[in-house]
Amino acid sequence: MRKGLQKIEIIENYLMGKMNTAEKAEFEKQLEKDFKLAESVQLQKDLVAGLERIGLKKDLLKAKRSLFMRNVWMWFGVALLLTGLAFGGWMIDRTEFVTQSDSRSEMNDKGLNIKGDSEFLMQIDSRSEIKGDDTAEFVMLSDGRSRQTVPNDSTTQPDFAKIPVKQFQTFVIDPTKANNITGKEGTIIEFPANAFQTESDQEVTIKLKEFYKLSDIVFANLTTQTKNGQLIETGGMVQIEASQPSISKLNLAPDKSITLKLPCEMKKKGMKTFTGGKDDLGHVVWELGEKFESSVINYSDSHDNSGVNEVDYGLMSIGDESNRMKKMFAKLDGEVEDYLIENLRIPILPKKQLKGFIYISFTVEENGIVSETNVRKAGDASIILYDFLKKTAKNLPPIVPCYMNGQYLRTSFEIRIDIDKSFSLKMLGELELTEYYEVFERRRGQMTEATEEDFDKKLKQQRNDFEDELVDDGLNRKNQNLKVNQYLLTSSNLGYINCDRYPFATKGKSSFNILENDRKINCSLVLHSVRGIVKPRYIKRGKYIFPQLPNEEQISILAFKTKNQQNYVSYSVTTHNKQDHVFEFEPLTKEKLQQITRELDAIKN
Amino acid sequence: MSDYKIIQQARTGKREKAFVQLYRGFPAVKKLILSKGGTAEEAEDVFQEALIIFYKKAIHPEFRLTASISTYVYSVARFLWLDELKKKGLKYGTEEVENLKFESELEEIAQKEKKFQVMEEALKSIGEKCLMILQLFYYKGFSMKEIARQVDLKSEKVAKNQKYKCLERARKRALEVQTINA
Repeated sequence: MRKGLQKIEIIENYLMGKMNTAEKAEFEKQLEKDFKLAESVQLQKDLVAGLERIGLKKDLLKAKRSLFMRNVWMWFGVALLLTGLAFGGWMIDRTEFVTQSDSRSEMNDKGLNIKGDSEFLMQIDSRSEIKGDDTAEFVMLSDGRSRQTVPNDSTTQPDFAKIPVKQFQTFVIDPTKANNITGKEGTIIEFPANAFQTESDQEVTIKLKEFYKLSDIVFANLTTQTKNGQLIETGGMVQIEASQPSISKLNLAPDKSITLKLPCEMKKKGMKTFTGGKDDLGHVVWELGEKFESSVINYSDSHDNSGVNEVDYGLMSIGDESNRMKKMFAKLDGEVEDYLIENLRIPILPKKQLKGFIYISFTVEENGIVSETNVRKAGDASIILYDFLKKTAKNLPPIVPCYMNGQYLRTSFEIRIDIDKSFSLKMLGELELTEYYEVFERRRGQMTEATEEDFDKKLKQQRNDFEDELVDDGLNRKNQNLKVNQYLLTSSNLGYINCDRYPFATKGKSSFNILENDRKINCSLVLHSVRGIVKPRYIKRGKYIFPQLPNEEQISILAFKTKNQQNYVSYSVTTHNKQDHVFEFEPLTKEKLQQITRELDAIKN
Repeated sequence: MSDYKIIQQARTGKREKAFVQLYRGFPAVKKLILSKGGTAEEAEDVFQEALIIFYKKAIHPEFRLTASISTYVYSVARFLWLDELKKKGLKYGTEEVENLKFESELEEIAQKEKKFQVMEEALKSIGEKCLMILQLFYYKGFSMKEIARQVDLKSEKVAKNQKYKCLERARKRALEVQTINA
């Protein structure tokens, strides 16, 4: 233990009566002589008294609350007897106290029920995509558990509500040459020469749908959920089909991939290619790029080359399967290390040159999420550095998982990072005050008084800067934006392609429920903080259940149903505060639909 | 509940129960302070201060109650408030000058509490975790082992070391605050 701390310990022992008589006598003798020591003892004694005050005040506050609650219950009882619930609620609302008790929410619950929202119980019919009157294409939305639907332009059920959805844009290209096509909303797709799996040189017809606006995505019944129901955040979706007169559905040749440029207002980090497939309910669900190659590649764009260099992990051109693992390791080593160097913040640069190495082990789940991160050190790696590395390593971004024999695997890695090689680190702020003090003290011993003062000032400044940075970081994590207005993806598949990322979890998640007995309602939740749309994962016991929805998230709830050939819509905006929700249906009109479209597209995220 | 019982509770570590009873005296004190130019907030501060003073006295084994608790707390609160007013240079009529039996003693106690308030201020700036460790040890009387578990530290030894570091930090802050106040 440091000398300063030892002194504190001795004083503590004295104050707490932990000394034996001889020690005590000796110490008291010193006290008489040493005025400074006596002052020091007094200070420590006062601090303990200060601690007691803090504790007592806390307890007093608790007492106040609990007394208050007793009174509230008493008043509540009286009020209940006198005028019933409404008055009781008013009493509570009138009081200035904020309490932790449940009574408030309970009463509010009751209040809600009194109002009653149960009049909306109707039926719905199943989803089907239909072809509209003349040229427009229409989709009927609902949660057709019984009837699975395949997008099919030929079915017609003209009596249903008609929600205009995107029409395919058509392009005709010569497959033997490289081609670029540009969609109406700015998607650029680059086909290499001989991109398709076909023998024929006949011209290829490309059909394209672009989904960028939230309304477009919702009305097309698309979501941003993975196969496992995990929420992802989209940067735009496209649907691409290719055909030749002789072949109705063309695929890309096995060794070819297309490049997509998706426009965006603000670029968010970590976007990857996801491809769409249908789940049991007929919803399009997404999977991280089917092959390794079909991931986000380093960005370089003609608009902005100012050093924007996004690192995406596990991206590599592949050789044969056996080489893949080796390469992946090599690649990961470098990239994880880069990430750590880039993101590591330590309070102060140790004077001594750092040595040793650190092992970082982690597991990449099938979906790319990194878990089970562990750091162990070897050699005489600095403890401080080690601790901070540990913190940084815990936040590794998703890594493209290992892909073998047609499926993604959960894989564990351990990589070694040499410290003396690359860690000439940035010196920034502090994270843990105590650690900071430790280094600080050590350095202090080597300084003159004048530099000490100067040093204090600098540290203070650094600390402030760092705190600011932490705050900024917190904000940025949610919305890591770069000044580039395109996402660049590659894909070795056609069909549904989605540019997504896993959003950062913020405030925890819980399930969001909508109370509704009708099982045939087609509903979607549109999140406000991230660009995401989800559908209920289960419908049971009169509840539409959306599990794992971020707490406190602002959401728009959109639902459609049909009853007696009349179409109804429910649109509301609420916050996910763990309370059950109910639909509020009204007849679907053109105006209403336009209004919903406007509101959806006004959501900025 | 009888005063005797409240004091028993306070002495046997049933602090919170005692406080709930004691807090019932607040409306009277609030009324007093409001009538003497204070705000509701000030009333609460003064009342809590009075309760702390009473509590510290009450747990002393030699403490004997000479009046009812509510009277005692009320008198202390009144003293504190008049003292406060005096400092502000305000006086409220001559009838207030009536002497309390324990006034001189109270003055001393109040003085001390002022000093501890400074400590309180300093302690609040040492970080939540640090404060928690110190509180658990000095106020709640937890063992270092228990504290290590609660604060999520690796071992008793780490917790102990941490405790001293926190104390050290608190000392530094206290000295800083003292200089500022001086």
